[in-house]
Amino acid sequence: MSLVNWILFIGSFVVLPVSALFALRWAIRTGQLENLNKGALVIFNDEEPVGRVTDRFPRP
Amino acid sequence: MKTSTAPGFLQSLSPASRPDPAVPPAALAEIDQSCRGPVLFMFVCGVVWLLAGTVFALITSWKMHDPAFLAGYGWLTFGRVRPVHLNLVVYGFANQAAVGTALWLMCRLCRVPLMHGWMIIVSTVFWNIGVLVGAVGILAGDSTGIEWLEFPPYAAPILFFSYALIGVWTVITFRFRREPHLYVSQWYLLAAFLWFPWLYSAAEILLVLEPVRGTVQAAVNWWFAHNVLGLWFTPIGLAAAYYFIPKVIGRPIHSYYLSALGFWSLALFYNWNGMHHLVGGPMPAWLVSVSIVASVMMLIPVVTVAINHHLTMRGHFHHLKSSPTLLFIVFGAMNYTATSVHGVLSALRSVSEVTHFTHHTIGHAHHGMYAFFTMVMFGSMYYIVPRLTQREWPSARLIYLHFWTCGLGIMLYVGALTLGGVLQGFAMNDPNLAFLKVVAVTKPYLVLRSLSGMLMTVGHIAFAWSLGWILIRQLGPYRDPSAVVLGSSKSQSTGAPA
Repeated sequence: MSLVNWILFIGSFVVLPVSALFALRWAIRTGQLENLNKGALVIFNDEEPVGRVTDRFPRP
Repeated sequence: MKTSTAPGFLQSLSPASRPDPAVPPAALAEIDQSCRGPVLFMFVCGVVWLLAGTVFALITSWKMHDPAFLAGYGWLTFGRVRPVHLNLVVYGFANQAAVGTALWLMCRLCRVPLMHGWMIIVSTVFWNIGVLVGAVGILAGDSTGIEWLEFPPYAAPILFFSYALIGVWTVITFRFRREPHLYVSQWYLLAAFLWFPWLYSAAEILLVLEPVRGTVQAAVNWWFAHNVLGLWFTPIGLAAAYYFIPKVIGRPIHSYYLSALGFWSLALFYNWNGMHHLVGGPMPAWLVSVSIVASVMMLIPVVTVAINHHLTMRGHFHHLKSSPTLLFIVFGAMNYTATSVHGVLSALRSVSEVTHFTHHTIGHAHHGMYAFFTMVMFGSMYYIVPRLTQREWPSARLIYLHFWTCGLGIMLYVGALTLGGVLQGFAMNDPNLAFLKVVAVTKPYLVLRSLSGMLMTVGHIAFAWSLGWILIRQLGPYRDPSAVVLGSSKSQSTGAPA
């Protein structure tokens, strides 16, 4: 294999897992994995609170 | 309190610059207005390619049971129209629908207006030039012959440059977000935006620019082809489902813990899945075995997603009658479960011995790419476009026509090719059966495929008609969002507990 191919293969085995580990570390340090139930609510706000349906077919 | 203020382009690239904590999260209307031009441009381009790809799909399908059809034109031979169909619907339509939806979701979830819209416009222009150059190249006979990567080598740099702009934009948007917590959809989106360039560039280099030798080519090809569905389209489809299902019904996702488990298990197991397509091939046995084990492990993310979506919808299924977005996305989510479980079973050696190299695999690929992903994208566009245009969809009938023709069409397609493929596999494994008799076994199912393709074509035309109509309506002056009748009106409260 050429040098470029070796770099890609080694990169696949090193860069991707290491980046995933960094992502996990960042998530833990910034509290992304704490209070998971609260996380489910971030898509709601005062404009579109929980309990409001936000889509419907057009009226005739 | 500050209200505005997107950083300049160079400022947003600087590692030293930080979002201003005094700026509050953007209002939804502000986000929608900022996304209006770039996202609509991407959607419209995508739908144009969808129509073109559908024409090539029909030609391809018809040739399977009527080989004399258009046989007198060299550029319309099966070996050219089939990859043109695949690449147009994957890179022309699906990719632009996916990226357009992802951009809008990123802005909404980061609570920032779309910054540097020119990057998206330039990226979309280059992407469409790349798709056009690639498709014309295939028709001219320059296909690489590598499945899912048939675009000629000269198209790839254009596409990669286009994607690089999207990648940079994503990093900028993420850095300047005003919502500190990452919703599960953002995990899927950010991972997809990281995985796709790696997949695409690695496969291009290993297969086209500096090709590896021998059977390793097949391994890399299936690593790419399987992962582009599983690590690019699937995460974006799931990100959309995780956002729109709770958003439409106004109820948080049933278990946020399960959604996190689903994401990390997908990230861990999916990358290994592609080699199960090489069962029986001249590959190291361990490589195929690892892939089969990883394929079975995919039951974890699939089941967690299925349980989570079902329990979120429990008690709210009546909204399927009133929401086009929910109709398409729940259909897609159900098919995500179905096609994934089907994929797990197909990966087993005993099953693969029969179904390998048959139409069954084509049916499975369409089940994932269309019944799951494309239907989720249609649902997403039904939600996003009215918010960008501040207009309602022009006709509920057109939406119903779109849903039923595409829904029934793809189910007929998958059913016909799954059954026909299994019969074909048993016939091919019978050494006493001549090959032409095997072909005859499959013919009724291939005719059914063409009929199902016609049904889906009707749906695509209905959708394109709706999109064109709403865009023409939108040519009028921009309206005050509060004056527009969308589903977010307060009168539509479900009364569900907070």
